[in-house]
Amino acid sequence: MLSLKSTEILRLGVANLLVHPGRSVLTMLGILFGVCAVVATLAIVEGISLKMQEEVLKMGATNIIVAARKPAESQSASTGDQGHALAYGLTYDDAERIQSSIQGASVIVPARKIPVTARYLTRRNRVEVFGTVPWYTETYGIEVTQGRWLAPLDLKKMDNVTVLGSSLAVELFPHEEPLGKVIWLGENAYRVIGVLAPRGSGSAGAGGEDFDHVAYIPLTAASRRFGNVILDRSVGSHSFEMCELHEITVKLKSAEQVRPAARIITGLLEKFHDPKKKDWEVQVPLDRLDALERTKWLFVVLGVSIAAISLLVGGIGIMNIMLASVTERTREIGIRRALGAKRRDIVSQFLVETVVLSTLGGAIGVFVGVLMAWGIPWALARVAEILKVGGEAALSNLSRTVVTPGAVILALSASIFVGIASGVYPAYRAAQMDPIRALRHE
Amino acid sequence: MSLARLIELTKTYVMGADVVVEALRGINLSVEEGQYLAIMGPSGSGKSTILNLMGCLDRPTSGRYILGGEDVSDLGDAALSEVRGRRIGFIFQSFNLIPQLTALDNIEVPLFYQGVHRRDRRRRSMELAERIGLGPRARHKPMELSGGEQQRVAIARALVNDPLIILADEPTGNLDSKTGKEILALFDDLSSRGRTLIIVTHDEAVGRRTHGIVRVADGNIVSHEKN
Repeated sequence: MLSLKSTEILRLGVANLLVHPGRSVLTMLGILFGVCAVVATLAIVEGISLKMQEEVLKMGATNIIVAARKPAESQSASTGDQGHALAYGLTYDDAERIQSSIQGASVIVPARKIPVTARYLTRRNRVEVFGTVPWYTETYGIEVTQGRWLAPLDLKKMDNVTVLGSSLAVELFPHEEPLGKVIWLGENAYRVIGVLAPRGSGSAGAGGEDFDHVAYIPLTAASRRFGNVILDRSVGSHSFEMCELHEITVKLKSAEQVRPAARIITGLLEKFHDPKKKDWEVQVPLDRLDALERTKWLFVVLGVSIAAISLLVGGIGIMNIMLASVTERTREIGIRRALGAKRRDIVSQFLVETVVLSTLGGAIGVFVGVLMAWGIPWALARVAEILKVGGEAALSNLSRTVVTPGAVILALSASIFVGIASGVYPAYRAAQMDPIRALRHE
Repeated sequence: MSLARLIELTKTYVMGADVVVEALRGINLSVEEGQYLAIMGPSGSGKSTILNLMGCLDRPTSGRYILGGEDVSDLGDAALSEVRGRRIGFIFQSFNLIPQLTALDNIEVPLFYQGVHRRDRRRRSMELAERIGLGPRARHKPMELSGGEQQRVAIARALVNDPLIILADEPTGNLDSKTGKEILALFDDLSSRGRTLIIVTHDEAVGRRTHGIVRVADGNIVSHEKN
């Protein structure tokens, strides 16, 4: 289509831009900032998204979590009615039914959660007692820093042993060695056999559970010592609850099995639980990943729209300068036309200039954007340090940014597009000039 | 057969709703190969319009223009550009060099648009720079050259595509008389080598050096004298 070899036109364009290097650089800035904004925004969104994905994956992508939920109408029934215990939640029968119906489930972990007060000497602490089974660790990657995790024998013997979450261990034993010490969980004494590494609070979709402020005990011990009735005095007025199991985690061998299995479990629970009083919930972490993906795209679209405005302004800047340049070079256009340049030669000459400008601006913008993406977490960490802000949680989502090839390609193609779009009109104006008048132009 | 023939050529400009300027009212002119002609006349007589039409910068309102055996009166814009690039050499009063290009680059511009390879262009422009006596100043930009040198560059540029016809519009108008004479000597030399030259001028002394003077007034050719 072009009558000249493209390298020749490119060389000519670059030469013309170098005639006014300062002007060219200033013209580029708009695109540079726009592209820089695109790259940095996408890097931040990608970083947040990855971090949230990791947190969901902590719950296990091949897991299905069946959780007990207090039915909605139970609130009024329980308060003030002390003689009547609210019965709800999952049962051991449910666990057995799930076990027998799901093929390919590698582990099934039942669990109970009981809120109690933990005491050691004079120190007390509201904690959640988590009655579970030794194979809990196979579903959730748990790391023991001191002592050991619950053993099958502990379960069988209904031993009063406990493994402490990391922050609970520090609160109860700020100075002492926790291993072998005896603490009180509610009415009973338990021997500390292990301490876990910090697991972090599942801020992203894990229901805000604090995994570190938990005392783990054998499930058998939990039902024996605490019974199935739980007296909760935490909110002034007390209420009774009856709940065999609070949670059943089903671990499958592969992610493809998760959704069919979740349907089977939902079916089972619908069949055996009162449909008017839904007291259970099936959580699929994999579904949360999908929801996360959608949220991420929302932010991508938002971020890119804002950056697009900057690119638009940059494009208008280029167009403005090019229109001025076309007027300024009217005579040159006339000369070139007289010496044999066709209209399309003139069009390509000016288009090449805008595209070179915007592409170069885009390339530098990508570079600066990558630097920014790299610098933002670092700068935030420094700011947090200086201000002594403990709000790590708030900043932790920005602790990592990821520049994807897709973001770079998007930014570069956007800048090339802006170059073409902003160059078309000035180039057209230049090409439409009458050569005779252009030659006379002073 | 004539190299260039203008047959009953007219050109009218519509300036406004009912203002029509008749720049040319039926011109007949025939230019033979190797001829060196001067077109003379007062300002507004239509001599520049003749030059523009002969240079294919403009199309006639009516009449025919045959250049090198081809009727170019009705060609489209792209085709006319092609004709200008390959068959015409322009020399202007105000030199019309592109300021950001060196003398050599300026000489090469017509070849650039014909897609001639860079190396061939450079070889040809160096050759011409040498011939017009530019020597070491060929790598300078127009601003750094004297008027005479600039016009020499323009002449080299007009020769670079080996045109059928060279059109010069007041080529000595912006030069002092000594430099003007040098440029005219260069024209004489070109003519003696067989180039076809048309020169628009006010200067009778310039006209006397040519093979013939075409006098124009009010859009008509009033006389065609042979020297």
